[in-house]
Amino acid sequence: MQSSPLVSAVIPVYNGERYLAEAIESVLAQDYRPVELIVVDDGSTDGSGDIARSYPLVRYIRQTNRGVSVARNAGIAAGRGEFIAFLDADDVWTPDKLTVQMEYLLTHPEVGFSFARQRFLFEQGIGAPPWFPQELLARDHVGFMPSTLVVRKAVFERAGGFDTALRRGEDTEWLLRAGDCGIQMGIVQETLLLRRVHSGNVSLMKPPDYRLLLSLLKQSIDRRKERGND
Amino acid sequence: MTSQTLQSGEPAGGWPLVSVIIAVYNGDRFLSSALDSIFAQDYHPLEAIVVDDGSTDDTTDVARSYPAVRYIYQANQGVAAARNKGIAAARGDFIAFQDADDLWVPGKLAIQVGHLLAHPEVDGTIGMWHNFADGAPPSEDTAAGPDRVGLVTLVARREVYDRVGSYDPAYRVGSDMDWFSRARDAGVNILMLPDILLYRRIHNGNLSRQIDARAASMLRMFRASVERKRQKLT
Repeated sequence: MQSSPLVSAVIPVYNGERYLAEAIESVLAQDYRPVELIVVDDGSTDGSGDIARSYPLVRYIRQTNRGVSVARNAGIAAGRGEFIAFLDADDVWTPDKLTVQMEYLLTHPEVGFSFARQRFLFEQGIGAPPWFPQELLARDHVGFMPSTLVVRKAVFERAGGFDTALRRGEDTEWLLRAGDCGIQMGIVQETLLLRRVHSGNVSLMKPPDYRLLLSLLKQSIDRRKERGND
Repeated sequence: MTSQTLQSGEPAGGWPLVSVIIAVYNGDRFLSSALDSIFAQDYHPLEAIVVDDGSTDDTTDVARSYPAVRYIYQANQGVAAARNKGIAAARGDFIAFQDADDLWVPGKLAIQVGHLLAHPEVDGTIGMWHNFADGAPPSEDTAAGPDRVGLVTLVARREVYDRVGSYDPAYRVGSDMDWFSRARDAGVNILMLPDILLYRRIHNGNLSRQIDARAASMLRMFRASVERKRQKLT
């Protein structure tokens, strides 16, 4: 009998009491084993900590509020798994999410991390903001964001963790940096995430910060140039 | 009989009867291989109950061609209602489930019933399953992907259903996830075994891959589970 490698699921949360329990339940309902679940409480002042600690299977880590990058990095550091998977506290995994992505990573040893498709889930009374791309609403699409990301832990040793100086765009920055290190990305075509759109959703309800994205791209190009000059 | 069962030896009243419930809707293509894998079990005695959920194909004929099968028909009401009907009709001390497109390993019941007999404090056991592509003969070598925990592998004591209740027919898919969540909240002791107990056939019609129905069921199930915990706390 083969035994599958341990996956550390990391949920960073800041004042996410409204949806956190559903996110935790969706990890506990995974049909993949073995999984450990780490909730990193980024200094919440609501009931997030109580909710996380009410689940005996959750490893609970608390930090003073230092942002989602520090929280995710703390989860990576605490993770005992060979693989790290992330879930935001307002999103929900499908029960086969880890099985499908792990199957992919185990059969593609050259790939360092994988993304999957996601579907938007609109909370009652919440419509899409006007700038929202219609094609993303119409069908399931690849979500290049932490909740669909499963990574070999060794990748973080090569590429580093999330940039703690950034409060937005930290996932894009990491993705570019990992690519610049020559780490290969894989995409799983199945829909494995329900991504919730609600009034408190920071990254979805604000228009993209194009100035930030451009500066991240510029950094990436500079890194590649430097590497080319070596 | 595998070593697991023999550990405890034959109980005083003889080996207990296991009722195997196969809820099926239009499963004529694979039903006979599923039934064959039940009747090929090392463990006996068992009864196989096919609950036909209003099939419009040849499911009836396939099921009836097995004299040992107890056949029950219902108008199409979904898998939860079909399983409930099977549980109500079951005569066994233990209840097991089989999906019409899956195959059991020959030692499945011996392993699981063996654990239940040896551990009176355990209410039910589940184990792992492997995918296999329709067409390829299933084996450890042809299995695709990692082992997965399979809720459908559940073998439980009959009285567990008195404690937890039946499957909720309001779920078109995911009624077993809801049941397990309720069982956990009711303090039911389910033992997870590392053994591979079944092979799941992957084909185009798999009900559980229908994302639209699944998404709604999942959220409903998670919400219900959270609500139960909230009520327990207050």
